[in-house]
Amino acid sequence: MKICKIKKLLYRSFDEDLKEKDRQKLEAALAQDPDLRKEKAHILQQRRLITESRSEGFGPGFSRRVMARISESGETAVRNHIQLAYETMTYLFRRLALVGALAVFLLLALNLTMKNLSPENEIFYASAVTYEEIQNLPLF
Amino acid sequence: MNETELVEAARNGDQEAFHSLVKQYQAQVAATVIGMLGRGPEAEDIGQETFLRFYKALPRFRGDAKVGTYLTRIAVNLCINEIRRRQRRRRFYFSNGESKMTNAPDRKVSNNPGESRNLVQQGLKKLAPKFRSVLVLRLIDGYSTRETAEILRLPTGTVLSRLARAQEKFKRILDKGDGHENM
Repeated sequence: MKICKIKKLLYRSFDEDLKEKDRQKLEAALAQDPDLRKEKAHILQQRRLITESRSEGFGPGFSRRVMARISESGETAVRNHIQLAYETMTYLFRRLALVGALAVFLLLALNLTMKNLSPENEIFYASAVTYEEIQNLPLF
Repeated sequence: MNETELVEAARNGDQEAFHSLVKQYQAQVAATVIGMLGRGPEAEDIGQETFLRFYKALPRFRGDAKVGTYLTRIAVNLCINEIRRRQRRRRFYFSNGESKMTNAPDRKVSNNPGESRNLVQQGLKKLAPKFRSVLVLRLIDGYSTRETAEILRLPTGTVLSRLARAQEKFKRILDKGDGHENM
């Protein structure tokens, strides 16, 4: 369902401040077109009807029923703090795990692109280390 | 106590403070829920659920939105879920051979406020949730276009477009007595 441009402008005029150019365009159209003026009056009446249909509220005692339901549910603000702490830790862990996984992936990718990787060590994604170097380590 | 103090007290376990918040905002939540769903037991149930969810969310509520705005957002989302649930149930019954009730609203606008209210409710029920919500928030709850956009988390342009289309559809529903559900 498409609405013509001037009618769109008319609808918009009720819900936002039109730019000067648009406001003049609308006023000119309203001045020339009696049907458009009728349309405007109809829209105003409709909007008033909707606004005036606002309900008077829920039945009496609504707030007491809400509090009773809260009591029945067993929820308390203190318990909610514990839940909040749990949810926060879960949230942080997931974020850290994601960052950690990304870091491992980047390191692996970096290692793979290193030029002096020997074919054997590619399996273990480590740079070349000789047996003599291992023997010279302080551990031995 | 002002609103901030009430929220803080409720967060610290003061039930009376939360009760005060319920009393303060129940009319606003009622306007939204009844506007979206019409009067009935489900409306009260959704109203209660709105405040229950707010209570559960208190520790996370940082106060960057007003309490009224926050409650309205919860209420609108719950109402949309309820509308969708009703639609699924209705489709199930209709697919089992039940005939559709056109239930078109009476075309005449009455001077009786009760009848006019019913007429509006019947008309609103014919609108899809995305159009119904903008009309309810803007015209029944009285939020500005910007506030409506903030509550629904939509661009202002989208809200303006939906308002125009919603009013056009509503006008056709009232003028022609169109009985089709969710245009």
